[in-house]
Amino acid sequence: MRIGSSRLRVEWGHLAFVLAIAAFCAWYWLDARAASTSTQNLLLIQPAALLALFLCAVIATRLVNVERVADEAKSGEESAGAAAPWEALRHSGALRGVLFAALLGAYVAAVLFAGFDLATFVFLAAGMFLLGERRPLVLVGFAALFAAALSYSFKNMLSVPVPTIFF
Amino acid sequence: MLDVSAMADALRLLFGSWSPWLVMVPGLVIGLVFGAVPGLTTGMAMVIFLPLTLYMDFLSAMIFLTSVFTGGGFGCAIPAILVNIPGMPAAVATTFDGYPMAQRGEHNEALGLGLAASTFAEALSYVILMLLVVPISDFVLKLSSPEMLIVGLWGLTLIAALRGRNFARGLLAGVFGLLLGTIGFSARGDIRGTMGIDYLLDGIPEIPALMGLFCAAELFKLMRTDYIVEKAEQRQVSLRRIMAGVRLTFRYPRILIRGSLVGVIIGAVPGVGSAVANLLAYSEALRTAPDKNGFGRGDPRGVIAAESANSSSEGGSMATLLALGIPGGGATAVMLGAFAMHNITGGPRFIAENKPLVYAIIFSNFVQTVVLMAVGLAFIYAAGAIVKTPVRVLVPAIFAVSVFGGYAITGNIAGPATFFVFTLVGWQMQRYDYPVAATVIGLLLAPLVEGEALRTYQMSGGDPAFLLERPIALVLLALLVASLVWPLVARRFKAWQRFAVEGGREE
Repeated sequence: MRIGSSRLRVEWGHLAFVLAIAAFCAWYWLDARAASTSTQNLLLIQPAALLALFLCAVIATRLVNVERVADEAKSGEESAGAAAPWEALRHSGALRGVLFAALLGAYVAAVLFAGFDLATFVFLAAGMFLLGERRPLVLVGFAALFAAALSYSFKNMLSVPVPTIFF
Repeated sequence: MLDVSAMADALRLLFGSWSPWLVMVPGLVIGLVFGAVPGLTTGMAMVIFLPLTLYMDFLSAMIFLTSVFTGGGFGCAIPAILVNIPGMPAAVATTFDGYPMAQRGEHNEALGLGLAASTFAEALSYVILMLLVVPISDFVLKLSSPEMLIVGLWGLTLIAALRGRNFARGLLAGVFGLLLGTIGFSARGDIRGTMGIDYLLDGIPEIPALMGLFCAAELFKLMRTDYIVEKAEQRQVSLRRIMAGVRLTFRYPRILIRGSLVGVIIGAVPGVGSAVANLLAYSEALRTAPDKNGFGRGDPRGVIAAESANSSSEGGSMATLLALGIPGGGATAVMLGAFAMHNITGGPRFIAENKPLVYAIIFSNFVQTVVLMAVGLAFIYAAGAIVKTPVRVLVPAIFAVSVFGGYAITGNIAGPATFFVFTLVGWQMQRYDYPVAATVIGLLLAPLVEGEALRTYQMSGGDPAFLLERPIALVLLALLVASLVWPLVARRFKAWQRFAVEGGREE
């Protein structure tokens, strides 16, 4: 962001993360106070939340920098680079991370109604495909064997009552 | 200090029948497997196999459970070294130098270091237990809430102090973990931060959260590579190189012995446990090392300190369990359950009334350390297959095991859901260089810190001058402040030294 001969340089992703932590700490502090303002309840939470908010403020101020723009051409190049965030996301490998996180979320949401065995099989096959495995035998074979072994050993050997379809 | 006739009776108990020895190897293997699989813990292994001990006599049951404990002490180092995921919180500091060694292709040496340090420290801790069981119990009785509060806070701030860079981020990560750890019921029944979710009333499930934070921190980074160790020749498991690691361990006797002693002392303090011992021994090795540059980049001294402390803490926690009947952590709590199952009452009178039994447990642990050396070596070959597995297969497989592990711990969807949420948190923390280990320690120590803070407040009536009457608390407080301030002072001092040298040159 440019203001006159100065440019505001912000690490947006990091700033959003710090603000999210700050928002959680502030909410949790208020929630704890709403539950009770007694010393027993707030003895640790209140000072810890205030310290966390102070640390968030310290870190956030370091993520916002004002720089003088000396070279117009250089600035033009940088803004052109910033115009393609999607490409940057793709090249940094972050897209793969986002997709994998979404897949993990879907897997966790599915285990109860699809069964651990079936959901694990689909998650393993899809996860391996997403990370670059293209051999059908490995995708299906390993996913099926590993899902079966896990489901069987947790349910029958460790007596963990995981919901399953086939075991 | 030693009761010779009781020791003779102990040997008769041990060698009078085969049954105590038959359970040792299965116990070690179970401990190694549960320690090495992230998400499964030694305490969990003991709980699962506790019903089996009903079919054993009390000595065999204790040997079986301590074997699981011993196996887990080394098992948790294996994934810490190979994939940067501690099998249990007790191996957090092992990752600091163990994993960089594996990345350099020195995973064999790192595993050898871990195995030798673990076995040596464990044996030493039981020698100390044999000699000092009575004095240790006297000392631990003097630690009250203020001292425990300071020990807990010390454990919490260690990571921030240890990192040296981005101190504010390290401290924020620790405090964030501390806040997360207080979610749920307060001591007087107030409900905090549950968002109406019943599963959170007893707090965030710690183990699935820990698994999520650690899994995410490394696995999302790993996705960009094909193998954990890129060069094929560096992925070999080599007995010769493991043994080289074993020999290397004994070239640092001071670090090995100091790490073991730290582990014994911290292990003996109830509620603190091997995770803090592991971190504290690492920080001590770092603080006292003449050249600190290698730490965090694959320095064998870091692995030795961390692994010796987490294994020797077993001896310390057994001292507290046997002398006071107070479990130092989850694993010894299960052992106390075994006491109850065999109608044996733990407590200060236990040792006086069962000296031969106590000595027999101690002697069997000497044998366990020797057997662990052999069983551990064989197990490394099996576990070494991890580095030969392509990342595209390994990463989804570890996530799937962790989701199963999360469900096994809570028995409901809260475990996998917690694992997923903390995976996202850990991923972002790793991305912006926040130490996930600090959040984990905060999460684990929060109940202890809050409980002890409350008791200290009640004891002191809110008057800080109360601390002046407690010399042990004052010493611990001075150590806490020193460990926090020292990295900042050292950095300033180094900058001043560099400035003075450069200034001198210019003149």
